[in-house]
Amino acid sequence: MKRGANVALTREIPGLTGLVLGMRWSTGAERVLEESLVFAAILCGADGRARSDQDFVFFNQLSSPERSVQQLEEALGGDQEQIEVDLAAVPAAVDRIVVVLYVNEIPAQRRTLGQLRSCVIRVLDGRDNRELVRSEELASAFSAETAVALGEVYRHGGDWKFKVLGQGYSKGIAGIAADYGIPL
Amino acid sequence: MIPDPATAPPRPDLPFLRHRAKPRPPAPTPAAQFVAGRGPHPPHGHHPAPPAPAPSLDLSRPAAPAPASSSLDLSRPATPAVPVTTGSLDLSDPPAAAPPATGRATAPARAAAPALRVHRDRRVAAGQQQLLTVTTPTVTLTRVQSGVGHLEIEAVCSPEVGDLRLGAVYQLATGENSTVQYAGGERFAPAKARRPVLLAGRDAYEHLSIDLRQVRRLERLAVYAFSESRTPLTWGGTLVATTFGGARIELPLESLYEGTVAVLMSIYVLDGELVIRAEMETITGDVREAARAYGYDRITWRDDRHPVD
Repeated sequence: MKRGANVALTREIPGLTGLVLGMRWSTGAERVLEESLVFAAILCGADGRARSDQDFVFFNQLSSPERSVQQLEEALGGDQEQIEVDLAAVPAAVDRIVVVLYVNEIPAQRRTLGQLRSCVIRVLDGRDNRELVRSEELASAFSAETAVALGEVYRHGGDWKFKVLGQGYSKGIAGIAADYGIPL
Repeated sequence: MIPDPATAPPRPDLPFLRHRAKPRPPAPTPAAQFVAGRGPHPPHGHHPAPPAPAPSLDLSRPAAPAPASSSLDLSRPATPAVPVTTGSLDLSDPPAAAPPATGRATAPARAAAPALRVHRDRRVAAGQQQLLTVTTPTVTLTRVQSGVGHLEIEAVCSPEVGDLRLGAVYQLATGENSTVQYAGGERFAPAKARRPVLLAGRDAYEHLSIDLRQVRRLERLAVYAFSESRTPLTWGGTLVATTFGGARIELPLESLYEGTVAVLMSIYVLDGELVIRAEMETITGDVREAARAYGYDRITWRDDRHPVD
């Protein structure tokens, strides 16, 4: 799937109850970048913004309060990171779930997503781990970005759709936090 | 490499999830009962013992010691707010404020969100400033503040204070203890790490930074200051902790007793949240005694200031 393309997940796959959002990346030999990367999900309300800090699901907050969106400490299968979404448990006030990747910045060690060799977001069926869709190779468009909004799962009518975003941020997680209202 | 998730065993190793699975209504501790005017004065059990990770954890206990032991209380007048541990006793939230935390996942307004906080301690928002004082010695960062970017701790002191140097004694999740301090050359923690959890440096002032991507490797640390020349310091200035979002937690240092070494601040990782606490204790001895006083007793020392490492 190219950037901006979307797919109607629950309409095309009846009976779909849960998703796995899988993140595959390759940093080559760049170990510091590998260890600085963070895969996260943001639960957004109708205004496109997180409602509180608890709507940010990442390695230090592995689940949203109602446990509809959960990050696995160790991914199952070939992905580096995975986030599971239980569609029925997502609160009605949550309109979309945006998945992001960012480089955790510390002063001495500046790394960017431009150093990534590969970066692909996949959507799997939560029941059987079957790959439903995958994004195009996103890494080739990165240069000085330190964060990227990869894609979003969103409500449309009564259905859930998935869209590839691939929106890069040069200000890193601070830029994403400003756009999506995460209280840092 | 990893089995099919459908048949995989459950994951009881995710403490966060287990906490969230059982959100409790506020426990009727003796202190809370007392404040609400429904019970006798609680026994004095909550001394700010430094190694105890969090007095707020006491909330999870079903019942504190029976109030019958109030004979001990006769020695003290009944002061409603226990001076030092106010923040950790959870007195700040009236019990009625927390709705019954049942698992109504689809409640649109999600009014139950505050009840799901593990530690209802004082918080700090981006761009805000919080002062640590004797009566309000703690601030707790959210899990987002505790896991994004880096936390900077800086000793903003003029030369009039003396040759003040900053350091920290830490404990990792593996149980490893050691110190990190710019003076003496122990700049990284762990010492030979390619990617350190803690970093000591010096620009305008001495400072420490915590790489929060690795916060789950950290268990606790205590920030200390010492005089490099071992001449007593004229304590002054402020220890400032700055979050990635720009919140500042400030600890004025004027009130320390004269001495050459003092433990200023401790930071504990509790359920993914960093609890920052003013300690403000002058230590007789040196860094070694400061470390021991705070329970960092798995360090072997080269001298009274540097571990073997």
